[in-house]
Amino acid sequence: SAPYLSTGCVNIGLIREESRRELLQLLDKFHGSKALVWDSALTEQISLIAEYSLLKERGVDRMFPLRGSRLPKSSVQHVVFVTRPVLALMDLIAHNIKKEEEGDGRKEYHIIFVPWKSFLCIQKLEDLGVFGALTHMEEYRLDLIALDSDILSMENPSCFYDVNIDEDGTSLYLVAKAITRIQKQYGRIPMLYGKGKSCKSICSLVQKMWIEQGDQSEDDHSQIDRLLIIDRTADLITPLVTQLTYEGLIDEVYGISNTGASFPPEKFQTSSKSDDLMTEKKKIILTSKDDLFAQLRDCNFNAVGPTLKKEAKSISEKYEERHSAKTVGEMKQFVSQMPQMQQAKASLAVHTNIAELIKEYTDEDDFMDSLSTQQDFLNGIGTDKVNPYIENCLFRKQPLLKVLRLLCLQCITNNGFKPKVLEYYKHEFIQTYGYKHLITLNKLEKCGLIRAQGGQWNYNTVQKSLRLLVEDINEKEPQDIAYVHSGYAPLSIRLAQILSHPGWRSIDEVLRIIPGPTVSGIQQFKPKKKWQGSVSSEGSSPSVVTLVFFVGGVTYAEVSALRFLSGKPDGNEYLVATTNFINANSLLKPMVET
Amino acid sequence: RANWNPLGQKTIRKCSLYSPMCWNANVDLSNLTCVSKYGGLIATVSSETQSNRNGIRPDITVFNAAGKEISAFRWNSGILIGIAWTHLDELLCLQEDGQVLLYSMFWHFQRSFTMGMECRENKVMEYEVFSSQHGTGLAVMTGLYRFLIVNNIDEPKVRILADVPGLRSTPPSSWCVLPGPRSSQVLAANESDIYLLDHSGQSTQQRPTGLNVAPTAYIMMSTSMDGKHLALYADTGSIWIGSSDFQEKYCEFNTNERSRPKQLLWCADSIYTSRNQTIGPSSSQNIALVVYWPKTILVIGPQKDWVRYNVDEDLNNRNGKASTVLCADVDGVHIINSEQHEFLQHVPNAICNIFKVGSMAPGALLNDAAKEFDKQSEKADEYMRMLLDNRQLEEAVEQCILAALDEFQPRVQMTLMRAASFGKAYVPNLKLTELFVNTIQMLRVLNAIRDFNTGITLTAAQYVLENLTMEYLIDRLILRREFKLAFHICDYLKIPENLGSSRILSHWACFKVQQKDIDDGKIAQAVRHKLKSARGVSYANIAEKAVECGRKDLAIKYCKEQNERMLKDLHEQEDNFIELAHCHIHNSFDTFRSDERLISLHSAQENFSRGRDDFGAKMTEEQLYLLAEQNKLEQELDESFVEKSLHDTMYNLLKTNHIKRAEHLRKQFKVSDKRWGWWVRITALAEQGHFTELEAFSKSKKSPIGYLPFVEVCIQNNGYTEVTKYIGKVALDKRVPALLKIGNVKLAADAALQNKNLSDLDLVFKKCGVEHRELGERVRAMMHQLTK
Repeated sequence: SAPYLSTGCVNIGLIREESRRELLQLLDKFHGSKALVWDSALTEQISLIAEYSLLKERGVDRMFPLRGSRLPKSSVQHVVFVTRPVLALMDLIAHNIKKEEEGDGRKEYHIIFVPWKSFLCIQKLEDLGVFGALTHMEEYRLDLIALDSDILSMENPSCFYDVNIDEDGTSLYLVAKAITRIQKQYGRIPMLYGKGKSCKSICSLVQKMWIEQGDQSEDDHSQIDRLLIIDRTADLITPLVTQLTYEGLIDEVYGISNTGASFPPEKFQTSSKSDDLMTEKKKIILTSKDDLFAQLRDCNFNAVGPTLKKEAKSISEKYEERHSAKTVGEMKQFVSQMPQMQQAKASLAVHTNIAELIKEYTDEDDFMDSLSTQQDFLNGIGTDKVNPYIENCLFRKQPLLKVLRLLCLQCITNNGFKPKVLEYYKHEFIQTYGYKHLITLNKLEKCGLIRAQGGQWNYNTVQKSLRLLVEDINEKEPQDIAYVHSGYAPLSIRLAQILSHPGWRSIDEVLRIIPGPTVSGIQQFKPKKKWQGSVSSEGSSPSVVTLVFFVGGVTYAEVSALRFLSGKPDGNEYLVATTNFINANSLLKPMVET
Repeated sequence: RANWNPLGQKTIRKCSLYSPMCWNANVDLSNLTCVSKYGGLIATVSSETQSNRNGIRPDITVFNAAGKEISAFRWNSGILIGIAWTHLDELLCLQEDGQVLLYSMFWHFQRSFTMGMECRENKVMEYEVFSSQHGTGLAVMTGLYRFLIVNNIDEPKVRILADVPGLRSTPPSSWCVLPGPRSSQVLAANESDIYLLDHSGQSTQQRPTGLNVAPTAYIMMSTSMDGKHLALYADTGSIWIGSSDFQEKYCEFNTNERSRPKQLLWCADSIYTSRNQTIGPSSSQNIALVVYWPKTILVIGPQKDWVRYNVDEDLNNRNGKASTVLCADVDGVHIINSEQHEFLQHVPNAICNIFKVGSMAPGALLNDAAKEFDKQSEKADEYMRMLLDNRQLEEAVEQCILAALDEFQPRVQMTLMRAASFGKAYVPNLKLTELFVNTIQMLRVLNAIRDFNTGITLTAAQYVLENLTMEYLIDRLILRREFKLAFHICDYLKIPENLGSSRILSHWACFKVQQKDIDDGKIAQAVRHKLKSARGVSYANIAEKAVECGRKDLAIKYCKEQNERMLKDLHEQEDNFIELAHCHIHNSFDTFRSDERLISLHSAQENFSRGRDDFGAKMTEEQLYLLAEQNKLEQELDESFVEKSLHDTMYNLLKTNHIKRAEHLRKQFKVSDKRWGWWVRITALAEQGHFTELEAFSKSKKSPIGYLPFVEVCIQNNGYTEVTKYIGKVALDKRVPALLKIGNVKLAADAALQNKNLSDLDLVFKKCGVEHRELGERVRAMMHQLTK
């Protein structure tokens, strides 16, 4: 189980338990011994929900990755394919079944689609002639995965692209479904807020779904007081700015997926077995289960070193205690703490290594140059002209995504480019990277990341009214959310902060400038005011819980900023739900023509 | 039974189906109004039709059987003289010039045909729409009193019937269609002479047998729906009722009413014992004639028995016109006025048996037994004993079930089913159980579709008599866009997906994509989501429908899932130039043949121009040009260049020392000095270790990009010793970082101390560390001094 999920203001573990129960119910349909054949993209996700030992209890004897080759021999009764509804995977499944049937045909075959059963896939299976061989075709509606005690993610990486480039709103429907699931679990959320393109339609879908499911009493104690939907298109600045928190930087450099990140193995080589070279990447799970990581993840990277030092000191002090242990009882106590201490030591080693890796990266000139260019743009310096650094990057054929990131950030901070500047950039871009990127540029224009001047968006006004730029950031003991980008406060999180206090009414004008519709408070029902009458035992009023749902992705820095707000003693707590995690690279990459 | 009236051996009843109606009370049915069979769709034409000649266009409104508006639209074609529902619930609209237009109930034009030249020239005077075995037929009478007939409007072959003998300047005094198994004929009366007209030019005079009083003229006539029975209304007010072959007279009835009735039609009984075993209403015992005059409806049985109903005519209605509309269905007659929708029918046998006063039918006994049982009376036992002793219990159960099926009121249905269930407990009979379960399902479905929101007045008899299937019913619901109900019914009846839910979803999707006023994205979202889980839905169908309706964006989405080729065709069709250009760009990269590549690029360019994307067109032109150059280079140098960017091409050339060729490209493409001088030239040089050339290049001309890049390329290519050649030229403010880059802390410190620049000093200080402690101290001192 995962007790660390249950430590937040709302017990996120319940969502996991529910998903777990549903999975087991599905597996129980196939009575007898089973082999699971996994779509490799799902293994990590599912492992967050049910560990192998649990599956084993339910008769899962073997697990294989889904490949084009023949399945390894096994004597199971059921072969269950667990797959996303992706056409290419159907080919593999069909191939597997056909090969297997050539052997002994006494097995039963089933498919579990995650998170939904697609008609096209079934049609494809029919075309491939294996439809008849399948006994069950189930759907595992895994719409939300609990990643941590305050994070729920749909782990749907294509949401932004689907909605904004393909104009396919399926993801939005799934978002509404996910919100409905949350409401089912934690009670109906009294107030709905939102900013950006899709928030209005999601709100109305959510309300409709509630009505459709019927007979739910409203006065169920709702554990969440309000929902704030932030559509990524309302704040495209934040993902473009380099994240400077520990977790954010790990994501920028190595990429985190399903709470895990892979690092170059050399750093983690244990000296004792130096001749036995590790070639596979070192995979490390990053959740608040790891106490040290829980402390580090939200820190500005400049504060990571001191924290690690402090931890090292405290561990060695604890070890020193063994000398002071005199009585048998004291010795016993010391020994009993050994496992934890060893764990802490191992964790310290891991994070020291990671921090060193990150440090190497951030010390590079290109990183520093890119960062200072970003700072210039955020400060409105030289945004209206062709930027020499971007130009240099183009001429040096620097990584395409790095250039795009800066280009987009300059564009948005300048409220669009002058036509001449825009054409110059586009032309040079194509000369460097090639003609096919005409399509890339077109997609970027389609979703508004690159555009010509015009429209009501005005970065300067927004920046000033929302105080996005904060000087004199204390990175070690931050006073403002701007610490996550060393001076820039994420626009999205500022909106959340202002919603809690003093309310959106104070920024009416600004909300109008930010793209997309605004939902400034739909009251779903009047809650019994929990902060009235019943004063809790400590005499302080219970906190107001806001669920912030990011449609189109959230960055780790944004999550850290929200955690920072939750940590303030003003009685506001935040939960994060998101379609997926993003950074500038993962946001832009799908649009790049390959 | 309050609404029961004996009619000879039979009993008839008039049930109120919907009262009040959903429509607004001043709805006017007195003009053109028609009601459909098996469902009671109502269409009315506003009374402005009269002024149609002056260009006023009448409004047509379609209601469901409960008067709930389904659609409303304005007629905008020629002079409309008649409307009727076809067997497929299409609205047939007949124009004066013989043009027939068919519309869906949502006013989507379906198709049209014409009744021929003669109609255009001589106008259509009268018409009759009838149902034949082939479907729906239409007969018209032209201004020349000639009859034209189409047996099946789906294959509109117009047949001209024989002329009515002896007609001069007056029209026939009455006429009607006599539907026949192969082709239909027309009966027409010239005063008191009746002729049967067929399309082979034959006209035969017919004489009603056993006529008591010879009339001067027959002013109205009507055949029953199956064409077997005929009623002739004479100007004396007497009606001859008999077989349509004139051989048998059932009775002659004198109404003493000389005015022409508003409507004359047949009410048929439907007798069936159980499913699939039907006996049609062919016997003369099972029919009754319905005559309607304003304020009165008269029902006449074959033995001269009669029942008279008073009709409340609409008071708002001007000039006391009849405001009620009657329409014959297969098992009764719909009676509709602004207040309510009633159904006149022979009380179904099963119901009659049970509820007739004093009935001793097994079903009646069982019903009583169940009633007594509920009261906990011992009489229940008596009744049951009677049934068991006579071995009639199974029959009793069956009767109760069948009666429930014929009943309109859910309350009564329930009572009967409860009685059946009570009896069933004593007779373990699988067939009965099956009947019981099927009936309950059927009733639920019937009740659901009879709800005023859906308003389909389908009776069980209609369902059984016409061998309707559930699919048919689902189709009807789809036609009415009652997708949700249809879906739930399929779900409830567990109809296989490909016949049921998926079919509905695909219809729903097609309907959705036809809604032009809704945003494409939203529809796509809705459609895609719903279809995700459905089997048997063809995306191609939907895409096709979407194109049909000009919803190209939607179609594209489906094509992306289907195939690229179709996608291109679509863009082509829809003049979506930019997208089309993108498709061609993809193609140009997918092929290995240079001729194909050129064709694709030319198409891309053309489309960019057509789509007014100047930039795209310009870039494509450049690409074409580059491609030509690259092809030339490939031939000359035996190296691959195609698909490389301009930048990479130049870089490759330089690396292989083809400087002239690179220069050529640079000129052709007007590459900026910075790009040329910076990365391409100096990087290529440094990478090959040509540091001497690099130095020469640096001196050839003042660098437009400064000299820091020279330092950088040297460092990157391990030319540390080269750096000193350029460091003096690097701008002061960039010198310190440059020196630090080559790891020369000492020089960097010197430079920083010289510059007295705080950020430079800071950089140096960080690098000093233990190694250069002394330097560090000096730097720190300077910083201290500066910050003061």
